[in-house]
Amino acid sequence: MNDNILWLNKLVPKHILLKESEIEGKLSPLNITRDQLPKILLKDPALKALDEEAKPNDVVEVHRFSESAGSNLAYRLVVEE
Amino acid sequence: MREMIPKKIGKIDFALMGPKEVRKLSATKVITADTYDDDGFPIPMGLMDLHMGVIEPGLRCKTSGRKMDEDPGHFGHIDLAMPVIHSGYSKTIKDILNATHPSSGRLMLTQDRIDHYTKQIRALMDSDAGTTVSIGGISKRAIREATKSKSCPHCGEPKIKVTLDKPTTFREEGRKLTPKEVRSRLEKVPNSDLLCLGFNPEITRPEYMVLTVLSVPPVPMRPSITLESGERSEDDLTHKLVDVLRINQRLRENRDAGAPQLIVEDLWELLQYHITTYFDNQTAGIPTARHRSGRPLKTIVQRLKGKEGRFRSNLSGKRVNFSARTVITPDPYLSINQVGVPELAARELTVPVRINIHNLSFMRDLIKENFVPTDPEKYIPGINYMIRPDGRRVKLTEENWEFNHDRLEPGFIVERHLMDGDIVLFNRQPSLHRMSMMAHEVRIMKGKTFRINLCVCPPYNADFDGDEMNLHVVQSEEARAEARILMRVQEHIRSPRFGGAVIGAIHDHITGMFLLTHGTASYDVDQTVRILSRVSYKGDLPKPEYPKAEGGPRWSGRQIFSVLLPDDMNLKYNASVYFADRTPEENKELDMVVEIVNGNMISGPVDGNSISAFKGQILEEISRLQGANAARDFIDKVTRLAVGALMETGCTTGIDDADVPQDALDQITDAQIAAVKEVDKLVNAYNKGKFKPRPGRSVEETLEVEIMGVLGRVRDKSGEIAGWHLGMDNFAVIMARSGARGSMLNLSQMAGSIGQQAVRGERISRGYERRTLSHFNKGDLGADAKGFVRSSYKSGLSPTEYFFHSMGGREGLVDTAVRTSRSGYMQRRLVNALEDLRVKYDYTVRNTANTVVQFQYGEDSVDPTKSKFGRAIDVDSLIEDVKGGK
Repeated sequence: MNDNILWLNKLVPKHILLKESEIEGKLSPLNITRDQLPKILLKDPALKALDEEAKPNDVVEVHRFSESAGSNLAYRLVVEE
Repeated sequence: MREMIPKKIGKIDFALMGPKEVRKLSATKVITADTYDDDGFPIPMGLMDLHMGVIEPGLRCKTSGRKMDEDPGHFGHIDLAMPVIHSGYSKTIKDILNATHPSSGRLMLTQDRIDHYTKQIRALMDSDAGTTVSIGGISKRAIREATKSKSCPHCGEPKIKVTLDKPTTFREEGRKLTPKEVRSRLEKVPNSDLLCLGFNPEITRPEYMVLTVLSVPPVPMRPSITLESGERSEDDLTHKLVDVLRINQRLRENRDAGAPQLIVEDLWELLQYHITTYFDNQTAGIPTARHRSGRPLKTIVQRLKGKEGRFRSNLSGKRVNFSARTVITPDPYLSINQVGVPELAARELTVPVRINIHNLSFMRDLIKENFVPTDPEKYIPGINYMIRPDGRRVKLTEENWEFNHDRLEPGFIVERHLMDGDIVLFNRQPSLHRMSMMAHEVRIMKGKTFRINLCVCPPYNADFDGDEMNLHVVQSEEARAEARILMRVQEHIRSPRFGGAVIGAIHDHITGMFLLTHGTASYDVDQTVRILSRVSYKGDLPKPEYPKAEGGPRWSGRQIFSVLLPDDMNLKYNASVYFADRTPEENKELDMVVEIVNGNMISGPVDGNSISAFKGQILEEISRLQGANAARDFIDKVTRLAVGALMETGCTTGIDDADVPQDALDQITDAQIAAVKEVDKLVNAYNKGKFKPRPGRSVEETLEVEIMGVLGRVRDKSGEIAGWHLGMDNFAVIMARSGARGSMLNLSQMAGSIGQQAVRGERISRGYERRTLSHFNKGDLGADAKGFVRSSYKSGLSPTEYFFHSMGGREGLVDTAVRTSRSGYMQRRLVNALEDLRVKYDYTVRNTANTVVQFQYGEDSVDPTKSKFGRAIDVDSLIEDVKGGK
């Protein structure tokens, strides 16, 4: 994570842009294909605040805080619109 | 019915129908604005033409040759003299007019951009995934981009903006565009540009949004009804179509006769009006079409839309068979998973049973018993119909029962009356949560009402002031199994909302258990046996707690209650009657702490904190650790035990329960006078301008807060004083403190003082100019002038107090009325959004398109009904277990 002001807000979860080579390894154990993922807009401020530039069809890993489980991992597919 | 489906549907396209298709679909052209001739026979080419279907028995449809109920009817059509805008598409028309160039019809985008968008849409059309929404999005973007361009990139001409006067008038620089012009512009748009605009040129074209021919729905869709007087009354749709036809005819005649332009235009607009209201009679901007009586006509959109519309009323929801509805009344001797069904209803409601060698003789007996009863008083289920293996239904009657009794054999299906032990679904509206519809076991009873156990009132939110409930008899073996496993009452004792019990002892059960177990309450042999017999206790009596008591050995209430506890139960918690304002030691001394060791109750009373829903600790423990059936059994037995205990002790309350000694009343009055003086002091300081505002508040606000504080404290004080004199020998106090019903606040308001009334969370301030009532001086900020009620409910209120109290009371009523309707609508939207999500076997939550909504159910995969208030593991009790109980 860089020092973008966005990440200072405790409500903004940590986003990590996955490398193409990582995606398969993350998704296949979960039995989820890429088109079944929840979407995230390319213009989402969280993507703009990343070091790398995201492009459509990329996958981001979101580290959320969870009331029930402490932490929670989610994956989101980048889409243009 | 099979013959009515001539082809299997492979695929459905939703698109606009053009004039060609409408004519192709049409069974007849309609030209006469009339329905029946003088003999009551449909006029050919009229609105009731026999080609469009029949609604009279005896006649045959001229298109398909079928009779009345066999024929769903056929569409007809009306040729319009002049084109007319379809009001439902006027926005789309405007968008397209603005995105295309009027003379060339080209989309005002460069060829590059057109290709770009077309390619995107093509790709979506070829993919199998959910398409329509995204195609709409792309074409919307294309249109937006085209609308922005100042001139046409193809011919270079500047564009002119078209505006829409709702609902159907288009203007170009103030000049009206006739529907004819609009249509000719839309016709010019080349097929190659259409995909971009969201039209599939292979199926549809934009000019179809301007009607030249109107489809006429089949007659069975708009049947006329014959009144008793022999008069015919037509359907609203037919009325509207008559209007359309009449104006259409006049328009054609005038146009052909070369009438003045003005008259033709007027008629044209009138036709537009009739067709617009024919589709939607609530179109904004035009008057609603009305019946002669002044009733608005119910046209196509009105038939479909809203709660009473086709979708919500006839397709999403339907009336069902095998159901019953009647008033509910309580029966404390039923188990919570039972429902008492009146014989009258049980003989109408049936269960289909397939005959096999095991139940054959039983069913034969039922048939015989029903026509030749051995004991007329006893309820024996009968059989209404039997279905032979060839599918024929035979009704059993006095005449044929003997014959049918003998020929009954495996393979038959009989429709048997309801009997004890059958499983049925029981429901009370509004069905707000899953506990509003639970499966119960049937108990046939005398009388005409449904009987339910009192403990299931809270989940249904039922009471017995005339509430009615519905009962549904499940018809298939699978449904019965599902109901038994998933829907029975005991499976719903624990709520998925917060992981605790929602079904538990209420009201009298709690009072009863408290009276049984509090302090040193004890019972002699007779009483003990009587109470225990209520729960059909078998086994030896426990060793009496007071063996040497005067008049024989006595058992403590706690001993009697302990009979219901599992042997391995160890618990320690504060009872509901626990004094929060005293030390734990004092409370222990007063027997306010419950302790259970190895299933024996050692100290403390059983009250709300032990057995009630939401906070009963013993109930919580049993339902979570021992399972649903044990919890059901516990609730059944506890409630019976409580009723038994109440029978021995009795419990009553009256107005004298709110009596407090005169000196207590004097103390309350003194406290009030002191408080009112304090308020006056604050007001004086404020009037002299000496009042200091608190940070973030104005002077007035600070004053209000201070006054509210003072008056709130005096209410608490008077409650305290009253409470001091209302001891545990008072049944009203017992009910309040044990958590059965009512609160100490209620009691102190009856005995001591009602306190400050509020509207919108503030002291009452509305009414006359600068004062609430004319009894007070203008600008009076004192306690009495702003709704402080010194009196108690028992002593009665002064007129001004009464008025203020009514103001506060009314606000409460209005709030509930507003809240229910608002939250109802909110819940509807929420449910519509979430209804088809489900937890898959891999614990992901997905929707119907199989996209993931939650990667792990609840993020921790914990079923809240099996959790302890949302936590999967109860660490505290585990530690206690490891430590060995004590």
